[in-house]
Amino acid sequence: MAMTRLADALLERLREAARLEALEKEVLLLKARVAQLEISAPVIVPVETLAPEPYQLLKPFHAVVQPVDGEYVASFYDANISASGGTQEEALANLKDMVVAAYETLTEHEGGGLGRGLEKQLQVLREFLRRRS
Amino acid sequence: MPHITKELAQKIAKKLGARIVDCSGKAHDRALVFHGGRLIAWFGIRRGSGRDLGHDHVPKQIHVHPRQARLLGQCPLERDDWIAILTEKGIL
Repeated sequence: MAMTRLADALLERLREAARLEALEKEVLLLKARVAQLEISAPVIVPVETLAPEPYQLLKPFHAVVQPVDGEYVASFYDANISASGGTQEEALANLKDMVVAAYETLTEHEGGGLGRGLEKQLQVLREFLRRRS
Repeated sequence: MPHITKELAQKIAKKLGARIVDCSGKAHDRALVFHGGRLIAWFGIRRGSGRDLGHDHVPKQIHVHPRQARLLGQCPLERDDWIAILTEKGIL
């Protein structure tokens, strides 16, 4: 009788250990998935200055920085301007460079020299920045 | 490895007949694409020396899917096909 009880208790302990092992595996799997989501989730960054460029931001804009194949792409969606970089910081710095480049390029060609899409892009940019006098 | 490398971005610029504006002291040179005497698209080409530098921002700048951008650089898609895509999207 005592032997049977001991065998049952042992069996129960073994089942419990197996359940714990399965749970442990599941937790590790979930942790890995959360880490992956954290890496691939887009980051929204408010941009409040274009310094040291001689441009003034009339209102801040939000840049969306997301990983793409081991690099990062930062986008200013309202103006359809994007830039790439090896890190989030580099992508953001490159985006600022591209915003200034867009303004300079488009103002240089305005007055009949822009396609419809770029005319709209310039209109949007004018809502956000102007050159310091 | 990025979808669009610097080398591919340069090929896309060439395919679209872009005028390259050298911007020393800046992070990017500019590729300007004209059609009918108007500037219709532009994108930045990073000035770093690596041929594999990421340029995954280019498809958005030229209003196409990354796959179409790759096709532009790799040959099957021609400038006229791209102009047709932009016309269809109401961008021209």
